[in-house]
Amino acid sequence: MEKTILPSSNQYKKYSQTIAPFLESQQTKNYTTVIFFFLVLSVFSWYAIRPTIQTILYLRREIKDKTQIDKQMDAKIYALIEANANFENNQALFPVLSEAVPKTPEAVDLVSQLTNLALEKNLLLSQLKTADIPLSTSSAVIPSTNQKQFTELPMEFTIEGPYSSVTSYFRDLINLRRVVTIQSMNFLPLQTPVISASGSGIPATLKVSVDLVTYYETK
Amino acid sequence: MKQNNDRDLFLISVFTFVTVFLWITFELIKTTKTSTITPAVQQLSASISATIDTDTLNVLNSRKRH
Repeated sequence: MEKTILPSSNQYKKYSQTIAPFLESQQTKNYTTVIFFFLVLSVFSWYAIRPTIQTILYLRREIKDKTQIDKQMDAKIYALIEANANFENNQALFPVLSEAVPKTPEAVDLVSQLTNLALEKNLLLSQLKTADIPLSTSSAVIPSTNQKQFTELPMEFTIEGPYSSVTSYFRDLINLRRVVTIQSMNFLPLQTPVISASGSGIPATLKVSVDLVTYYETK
Repeated sequence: MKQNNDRDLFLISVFTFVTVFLWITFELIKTTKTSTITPAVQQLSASISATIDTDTLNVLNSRKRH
């Protein structure tokens, strides 16, 4: 005789009759109600309440942020208008900036100024040397925020002449429009001292080796 | 035995609810605290100073060019 795999209707009836007393129990009813309440509440919270509240909070935050940005932009517009007015008022002064710290090394121009100054003060300028100068720089390179806004260009030279001229030279040197920083100076009296009228024996001429640094804008 | 099963299911449902509730709470807090402004807009809206240091410009202007 062939045996059926599926249980017969009598077996189902037997199962339902076995479960029925449990389902009729008041305690089971209470537990089932509470369990389904929490489960439904969890599912409903996740799929319905959460997105709604999240959207509300996101939009409120967005309104707050946009209001703040609007205020900042207004302040910036006023600042730009004020800056433009200040720029217009002081426009004549701005070319001196590119003379003080030029966009290119312009070493020849500085050498020319140093030489002219030495000639004005009757000094002999010699042994002038500069560091390697880049003839072109790549404009495609974007400078990082940590990069310096200027590049140093070291120079060294020697001047010879009377003490008074040397001091006058340095006074004018530090007042050059092109910004320079004197790194070091080495004073040497020349071998042929001239006795002054007072007989103090101070050497009349000096040989001064100067190390200075000038600057140009970093591309 | 049946009572234990009921109690276990009850505890599971309660813990599920608590977990979901806490998850939603933290997610909502995160939504409230996270800025909706992009870094590019923040950079654009950064304040600038409108003052020009005319003293330095005047000092530079007073210097000589030889």
